Amino acid sequence: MATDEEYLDSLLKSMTDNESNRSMEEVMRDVSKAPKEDEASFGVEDFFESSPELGDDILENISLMEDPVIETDSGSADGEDASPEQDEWKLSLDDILAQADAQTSEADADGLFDTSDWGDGEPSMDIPDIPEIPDIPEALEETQEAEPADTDDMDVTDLIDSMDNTDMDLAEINGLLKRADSKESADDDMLALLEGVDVDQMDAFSDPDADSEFSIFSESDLEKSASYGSSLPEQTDKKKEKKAKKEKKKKEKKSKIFGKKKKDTDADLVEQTEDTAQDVNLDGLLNNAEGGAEESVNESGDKKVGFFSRMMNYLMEEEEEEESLDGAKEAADGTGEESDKKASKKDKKKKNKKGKKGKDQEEGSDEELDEEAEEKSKSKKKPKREKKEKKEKQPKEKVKTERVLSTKKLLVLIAFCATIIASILVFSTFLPEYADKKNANDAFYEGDYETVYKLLYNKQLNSSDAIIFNRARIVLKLERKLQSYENNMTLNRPVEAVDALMQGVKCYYELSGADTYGAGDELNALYQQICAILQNNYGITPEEAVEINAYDNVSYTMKLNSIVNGTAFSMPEDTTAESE
Amino acid sequence: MTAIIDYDAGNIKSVEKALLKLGEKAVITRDREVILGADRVILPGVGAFGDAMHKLRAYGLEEVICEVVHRGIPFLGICLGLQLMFERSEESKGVKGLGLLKGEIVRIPDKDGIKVPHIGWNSLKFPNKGRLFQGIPEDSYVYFVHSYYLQAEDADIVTASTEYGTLIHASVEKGNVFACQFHPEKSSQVGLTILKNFIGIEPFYKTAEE
Repeated sequence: MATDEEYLDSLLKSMTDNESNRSMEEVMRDVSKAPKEDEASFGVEDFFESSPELGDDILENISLMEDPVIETDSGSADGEDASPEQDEWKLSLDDILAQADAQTSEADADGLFDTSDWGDGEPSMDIPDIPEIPDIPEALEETQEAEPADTDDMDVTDLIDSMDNTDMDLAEINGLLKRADSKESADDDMLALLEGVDVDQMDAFSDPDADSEFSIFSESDLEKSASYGSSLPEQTDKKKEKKAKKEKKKKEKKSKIFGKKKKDTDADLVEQTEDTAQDVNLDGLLNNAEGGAEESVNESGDKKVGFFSRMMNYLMEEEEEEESLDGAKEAADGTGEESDKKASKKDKKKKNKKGKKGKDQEEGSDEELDEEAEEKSKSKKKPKREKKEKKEKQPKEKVKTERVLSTKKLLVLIAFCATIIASILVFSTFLPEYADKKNANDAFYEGDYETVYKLLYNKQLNSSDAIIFNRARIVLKLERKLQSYENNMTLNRPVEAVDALMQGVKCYYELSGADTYGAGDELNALYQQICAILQNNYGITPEEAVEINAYDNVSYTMKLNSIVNGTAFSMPEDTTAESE
Repeated sequence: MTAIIDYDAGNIKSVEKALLKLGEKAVITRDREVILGADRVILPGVGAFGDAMHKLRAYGLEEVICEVVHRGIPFLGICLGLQLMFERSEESKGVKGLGLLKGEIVRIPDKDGIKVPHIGWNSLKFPNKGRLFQGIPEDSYVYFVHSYYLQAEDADIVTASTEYGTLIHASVEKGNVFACQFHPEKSSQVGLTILKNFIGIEPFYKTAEE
């Protein structure tokens, strides 16, 4: 006894066996021939009764789910007098089934027979629209072509998100894109870089081989792409045009990146990259991104090339050109001379041979001579062609030679560096001394003789600096006596303090007797200060001070003690005799 | 013969004159062999600690001085020469001295009424009687010019001191090494006596040979 499940299986098989020609009526008749409802329901309910652990609620739900099926059955049964609308609906159902067989042979039967749709029993449902859903790759292409520029950024971000782990640069670009999405500012260079990436990424999208690469696109994107209503022929034409443009762009970029020499090979490379799969496209994408960055930087202006690269270009480029030109000239001259020499030699040989032949082989036939002449002419032509080919190849090879440093420019560079080093050495040696002298002059005009003395001590001085130094020296010498007096008074050494004043008077007369270097006024001022202290504090006039300074050491010391202590001073006889 | 080390420092000529006045043959030199062949060596100096050390090293005299001391040749440092014989100085932080003796050079403290540098005559005290000061009474005056002064680690090596706001170790003596912060060549008769005493000291290596 067949159950409902078995019957459904058989029905599915019948549908999957490409029974597209069968009408819905026949299918429904088969359904009507199915076991009775009681048996079917009994079978299900019997199954659930045999499993007491399931509750009544579940059974109710199942019955509710089965109700529409019953309704459709009744509907189909009632449809014997089917209207034209119903016929169309049946045909559309057949189409659905046929497409389901063709596309998803392993599809779930429950999915195909959506009982909820059947329950409506109306032809107004959207089933006829389903076959018009384009294939995913086509939809992708359509989106790329039909979507406005705003959607491109989203695609780029998705792509870069997928490649975050592959490259740090792309991660940076992704971060910048995110910043741009969040309306944060970005550097112009980086924006230019991103623009380059966008263009290249669109190139990658257009590549049909790379479609599987972009399976990361969400279904919503695909739906959006399907929603654009451009017709397929127009799209294909546009696709071709855009592909052609993009290929041109690729070639141009690669020619910019790899230089002019590789122009010819780039076309082949582009073809190879198109033929190869996603890895190559990724590499191309990255290369193009770099190229785009370079272009953007070049467009932006100053930050194009580093100093050393510019220097190397300066040193090498023109040399290369010169070499190539020289090489071409040499090749041309050399080959011309060589060819002329060889031609003259051959002419001579010919003449000699002809002469010999004319003398020795006068009896020879004309035909043999003609044959020989032809062979010779052929043999001559071949080397000439070879020479021409060599001539053409030689300059090219020389152009391709590696860059060589120009000796002239190298010498210029060395001379430039030497002058810089020499100037640095000169400045390092003379600049500190110059600075010291300048500071000494400034200090002198400010009256800071101590600084002048320190800065100019033990240095080679010109006349003006020597005057400044000596003037500071003599002023400081007298000033130091006054300071010594103050020090000794502070240290509670009154005898030494008076001694300092006495030495100051002596020093003044010594200094004023010689060249004062224009410091007479300053010396006089200091001398007046010393004399004032002697007069006011100790009652000693300048004349008395000069007289005391003339004493011998012992008398001098006794006199100073008597001045400080206020005792009477008597000149010792012995000491006066010694002093005399 | 007494060698006066020439390392572009000042106050060399006055030392030479003083020695000549005492009847001693003096040679101003930086030649290694001449210095090592001398009976006595004097390291004079006026200037900054760091610059002087750089000069000594630049001329390769640091090793020569150490060898002089190692050989037992009498060695006298004057003023900056004394400071260079110690380990370090506040004047040039981070610059190592010759390190022949232990101690450091510090700046004379600023006090009211006391001028720095210390310039002029000042009297000496003799905590330990040294060979340089034989025949010189205490409180004798010698001539000072300096802003930094010695604080010797070992007080036993201090043979003369003075007061200038603080206690200044004015002279030290250890073995064949002698040093004075004051200027004996500018200190009149007392200074000449000090130099005469130094000339009279025989090298150690000669006594060892004997």
